Amino acid sequence: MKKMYGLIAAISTLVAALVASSACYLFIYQPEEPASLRNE
Amino acid sequence: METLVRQQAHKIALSLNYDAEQEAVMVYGLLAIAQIGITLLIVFLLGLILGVALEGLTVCLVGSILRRSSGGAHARSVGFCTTFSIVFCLGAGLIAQWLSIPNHPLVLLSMMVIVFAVSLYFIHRYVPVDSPNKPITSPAKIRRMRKGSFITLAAYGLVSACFFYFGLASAPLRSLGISLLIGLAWQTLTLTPIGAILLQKLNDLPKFARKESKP
Repeated sequence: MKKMYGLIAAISTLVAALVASSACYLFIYQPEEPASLRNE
Repeated sequence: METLVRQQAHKIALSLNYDAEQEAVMVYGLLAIAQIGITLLIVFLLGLILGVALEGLTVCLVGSILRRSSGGAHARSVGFCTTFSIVFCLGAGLIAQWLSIPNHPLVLLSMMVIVFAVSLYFIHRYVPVDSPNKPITSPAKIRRMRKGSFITLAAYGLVSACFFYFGLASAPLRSLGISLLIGLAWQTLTLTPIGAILLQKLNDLPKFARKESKP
């Protein structure tokens, strides 16, 4: 189970980094961006 | 959806001994995966039933890809955003299919010219449109986002011209071309102050309906 969680965490972190490089989320909702991803 | 994602992310973070910031990053990514996956899947499945799967996905993707660099007005909740996106993409797909039945090249060409000219003007005027949850202040990032938006618009212009040319003899291609124009027009509208007000009003509709239904 821990391996599975590790995989989910890795994929979600990668997607978060990809989304952070854009102007906003792909759809019309924008949650608060974590401080470590901010590149204002 | 957001609550469920947060709960699951918290469970995973506890199991992996993540700190609060690592958990927040995971929530951010998981929410994006959930929202994109659910929206595209439902648009595709309902689109198959309504016969507008490709049109619906085209509207969805055209708006989303430009939004990556242009930004735009935002909804206040993920639930409203997902529901609205699904209804809008399918509705726009149905309209595109309906508009593609008569073959009027001049009307289509005029629509194309108007939508692209208006988009070019508003992208030049407003991009990037940020939000309090993700402010954009760095001049380098602003330049990058503007450049990205113009490149995306140029790519859409090229694709749209292909749809127009090959759509002269094919209603399904005309339908996809019109879907592209509707997706682009909607995304352009969300860049403007009028689009932001409209989205805010639509966002308040469920609250208003709940208030009205109370005795």
